Amino acid sequence: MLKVQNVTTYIGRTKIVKRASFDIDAGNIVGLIGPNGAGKTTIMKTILGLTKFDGSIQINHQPVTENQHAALNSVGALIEHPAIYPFLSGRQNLALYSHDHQDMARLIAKLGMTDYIQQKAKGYSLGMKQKLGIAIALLNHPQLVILDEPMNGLDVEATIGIRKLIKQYADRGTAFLISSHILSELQKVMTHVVLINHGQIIVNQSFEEFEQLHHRDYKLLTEDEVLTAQVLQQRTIHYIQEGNTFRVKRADIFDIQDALYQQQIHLKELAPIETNFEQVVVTILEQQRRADHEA
Amino acid sequence: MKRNLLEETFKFIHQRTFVGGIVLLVILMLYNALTVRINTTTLVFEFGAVQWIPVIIIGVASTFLAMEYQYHTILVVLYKNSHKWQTYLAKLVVVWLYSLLLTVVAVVITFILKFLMVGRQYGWFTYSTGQPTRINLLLGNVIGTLVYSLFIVTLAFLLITLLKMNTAVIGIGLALGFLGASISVALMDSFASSTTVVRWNPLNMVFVTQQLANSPYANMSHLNNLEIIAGNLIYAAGFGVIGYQLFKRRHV
Repeated sequence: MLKVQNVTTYIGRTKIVKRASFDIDAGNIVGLIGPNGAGKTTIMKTILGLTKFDGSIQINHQPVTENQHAALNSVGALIEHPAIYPFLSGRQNLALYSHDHQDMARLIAKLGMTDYIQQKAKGYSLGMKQKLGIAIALLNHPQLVILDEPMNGLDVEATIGIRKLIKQYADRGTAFLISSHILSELQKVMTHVVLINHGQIIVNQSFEEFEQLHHRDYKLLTEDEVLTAQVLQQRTIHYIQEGNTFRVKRADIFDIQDALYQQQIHLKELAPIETNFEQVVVTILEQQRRADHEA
Repeated sequence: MKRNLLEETFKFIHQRTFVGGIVLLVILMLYNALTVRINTTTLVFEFGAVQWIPVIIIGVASTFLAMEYQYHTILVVLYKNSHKWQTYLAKLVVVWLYSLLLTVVAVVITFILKFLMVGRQYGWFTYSTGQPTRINLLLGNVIGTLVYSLFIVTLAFLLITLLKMNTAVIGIGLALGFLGASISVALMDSFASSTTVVRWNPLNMVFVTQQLANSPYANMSHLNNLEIIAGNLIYAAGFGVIGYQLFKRRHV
């Protein structure tokens, strides 16, 4: 669906995005994450043909450049702020871009905007504007939707509604590229992770793979904690004792099981410790910072 | 391009400035009618509308382009179009058509005010002393205003992309409207030996709003009718090209 290959984007003479490559297939929900100033919005703008860049971007095998936007007919976007004319009503803002009035009416109903859609947008709250911005991005059955901080200003109910809507569209084959600082929210919908730092993509994998890789620690509970500690020490296996359980590395779990079996110590529990996605991201970024510092 | 024109027209007519510009023009013409003695000059200059239309247009034009950046809608406008020039040109055309509408309003209001205030006196189809009929003088001013509007719209778009400040552009518009002609005359007086060059200065182009109907103004502009129309169109083309280049390069 979307192919980004070796894309380098400059603003003035500064390189903002450096040789970025990633793909998005139909139905994928890709979370684009990274610290402030990492280049997330610039990547999104580049895909929309709004900046000069080196490399290649293709949507359904059609190239996108600064002057070739034909492929973007099937793309919806909400970048930075909802693109809304305050002197128009919500419905007029949608009608300006809509090619399918039934689809527009359905979106208004799904997003719960019916009560105020006839009012001028200048009187809308931040959340109402955000929903209208998302509705504009979802108009005309897009094949790819780019959302920059879509949950900004939304209350809990609206956030859940948007999440459901994103999943519904993805199930029908729409691909999403979403950036958000609310990682816990992104975690609930994304199928792939692209982590960017200083303009470089440092992680690009499916969310499942990402979780497996970063669930490094396991919780171990046996019937005899004293004997278990002795076995681990004898085998020089690193562990941290937390009460009657042990925190061990994922890489060691087969050795541990073999050792315990030999000593006839029965396992009560061996399970991955739930890691906080935010914490994992912070750790990766810290590791990269350290590596950059050492280099 | 047709879609661009329809979208821009839709936005334009829903903006407050659309009705605001017309109301302001009518109020200013009424003010002129009530405070100035009515004679042939007042009528053929449409109760001051010839001077006010360019001033209103510069404000409306710069606001119409600036609002896309102010409301962050420029991103959608640009990514949904392959050709930035179509967006820029559609906006230019819509604002110029608005100047045409203002001109029509000014003519209608002039007819009504004349009828209400002086009745059959100063007949439209009668000759003023040694001059064409008043209706011909009025038409000359209408054409002049439309030509100058093209100059003003392209200049306003160029200035707003360059300065990025609406108030600054409106200030320049007011200065052009009220001081442009006097500064130009002063320039030509100061550099009398170089009049052949100085007469092509952009401030001199404002005389097109007056001299097409009133040939003595050609002595002030030092350009004949054809030259001043050509001058306005060449400046408009130049401002249009430079403005578009700046618009194209502006980072969004």
